[in-house]
Amino acid sequence: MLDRPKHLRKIKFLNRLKNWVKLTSINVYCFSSGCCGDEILATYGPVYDLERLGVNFVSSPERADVLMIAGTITKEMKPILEDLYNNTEDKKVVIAVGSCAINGGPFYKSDYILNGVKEIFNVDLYVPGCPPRPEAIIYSILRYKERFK
Amino acid sequence: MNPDFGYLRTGVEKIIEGIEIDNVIPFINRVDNSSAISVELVYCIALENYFKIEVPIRAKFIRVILSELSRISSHILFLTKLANALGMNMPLHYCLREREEILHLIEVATGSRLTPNFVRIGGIKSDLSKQFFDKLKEILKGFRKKVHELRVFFLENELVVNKLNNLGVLVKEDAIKLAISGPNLRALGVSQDIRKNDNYEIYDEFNFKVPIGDRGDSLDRCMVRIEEIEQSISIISQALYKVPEGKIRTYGEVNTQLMENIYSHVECPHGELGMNISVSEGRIAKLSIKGPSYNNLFAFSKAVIGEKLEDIELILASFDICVCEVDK
Amino acid sequence: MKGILRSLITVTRNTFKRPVTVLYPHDRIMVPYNSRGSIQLMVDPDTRKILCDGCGQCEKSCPLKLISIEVDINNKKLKSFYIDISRCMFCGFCEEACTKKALKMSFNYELTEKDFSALKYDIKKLTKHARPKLRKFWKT
Ligand code: SF4
Ligand code: SF4
Repeated sequence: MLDRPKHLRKIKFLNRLKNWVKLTSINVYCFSSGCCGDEILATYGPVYDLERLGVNFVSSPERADVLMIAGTITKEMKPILEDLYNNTEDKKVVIAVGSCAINGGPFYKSDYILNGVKEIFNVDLYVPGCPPRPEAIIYSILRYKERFK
Repeated sequence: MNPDFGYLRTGVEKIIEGIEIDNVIPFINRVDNSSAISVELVYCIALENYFKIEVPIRAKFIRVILSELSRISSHILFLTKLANALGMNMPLHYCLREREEILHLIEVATGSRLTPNFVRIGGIKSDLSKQFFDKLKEILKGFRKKVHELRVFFLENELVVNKLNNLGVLVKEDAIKLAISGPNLRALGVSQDIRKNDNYEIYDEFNFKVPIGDRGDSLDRCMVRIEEIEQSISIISQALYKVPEGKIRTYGEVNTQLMENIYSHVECPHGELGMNISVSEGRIAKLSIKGPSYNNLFAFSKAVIGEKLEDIELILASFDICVCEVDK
Repeated sequence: MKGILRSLITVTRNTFKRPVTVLYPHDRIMVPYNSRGSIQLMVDPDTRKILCDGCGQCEKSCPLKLISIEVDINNKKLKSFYIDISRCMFCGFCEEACTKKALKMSFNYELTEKDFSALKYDIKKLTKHARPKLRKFWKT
């Protein structure tokens, strides 16, 4: 077996360390409104307790790895969301929660509504449901964790 | 201070024009996210009263039980927001724990936690099983004690009471000029409750008090809501032993010509919720919703004048404004 | 002072209660039997065929018009059945409208997907979690 150069081995080790760190502490910035926002509040509560999986709800987008966007997205919000996306750090993951955030949901015929956040930027995980149960939101975090394994 | 509107505008009132009257319910219950069942209720009551459809008594009892349950869950959500604004972490988690039990009950009955889609014109969608009533009895037995715990945290703790006392006082003349309703009005000492004044379902069969405050500050608003939770529990426990057997839905005639301005109102957890409907040929021609949160928002911008900057979030939380309902 | 002490007593009393947290991926809360999760097509227990014959009742009843059915004209069999789950509001009207009990909302709520196109469910995906329709013990 060929031996790897020493500096490459070091980089691999550093990558694994970084992945391990990312697995155990996930910083989530949550932009929520409507009924889906209530369900995200329930995942924060004692019955579902997202924090035991290493999830931290942070209050500024600069520190976040995951952008969680939930609830009704209107055209008025578009500049705010673009600002948010540009401010998060480079390797960001976007999770769209609820059918409003995925594709307009029940209000897709309306003039005020944006047809999902996928029109503004690239979305990595979709969580259908109207509103999704808190378990479904936790499941999306588990799917996110699979990336680093 | 002037509110800036339009960030959550969905245009529900427009998109449901032209839809059959039976299919409207899942659209309009997204208007009020904390107690969706009262929006369904006001819609069905308006059409039933106009077309003279007789609702079976069992269905009426079940409607009352579910709407009181959602009132409890909405008021507990209010306490959660208040605890968050006060910076108290422990009571926040206790509130979320109690709320989860109520939401589970609603899910067992209707099939969904927040958007039930359960009330129909002339009755309800499906019957409730005996297991549900057994479960409800079991949970209600312990729930009084839990509400007492919340009362200890919010109304007997001196730190909280000193903070909330005399904060964000609303003057009576302003309140009446702005037409606010619900617990925010009752905190001023005005005994106005549609459940008592205009008993729309079978609320006259139950024996309950309307809690009122006296000064109209944040402490009164908090106290009125906690006492309303206790009254709701007593309404449910009276209703539980009275539920008769029987049918759950009658299929009535709905006329086909143009019918204009059918109005009805109920007491939703935030205040008076009214709805004005015009129907033509079995489809919705026009529908407009009058939500209480819109008026409460203006009352907030009156009450906040002269207060410190760091207290604004606390006063906003104490008015219990449902943002979805302001913009619709 | 008395009130602060009382709230401290409540906190200590709650500390020694049984924990309420559900460790989700390992154990779950039982979902009520009428809970509205993802939609599935039911299967006949004997022949393992789909019960739906494409009458189009659910297509008509959906308030958002998300269901699209195609039927073969020659032998009157179901050709394709699509539901666009990305806009579905889980109202349950399609389940109520089906007279043959061929459409049912299941317990499954873990619907997270990576691709947007995977949210348009076809027959294969709709029968993935389907269990055979319950039959009566005594045949009448
Ligand atoms: S997806 Fe459904 S539950 Fe979520 S905000 Fe939109 S309407 Fe409400
Ligand atoms: S659940 Fe409602 S919105 Fe979804 S497909 Fe069925 S009828 Fe349409």
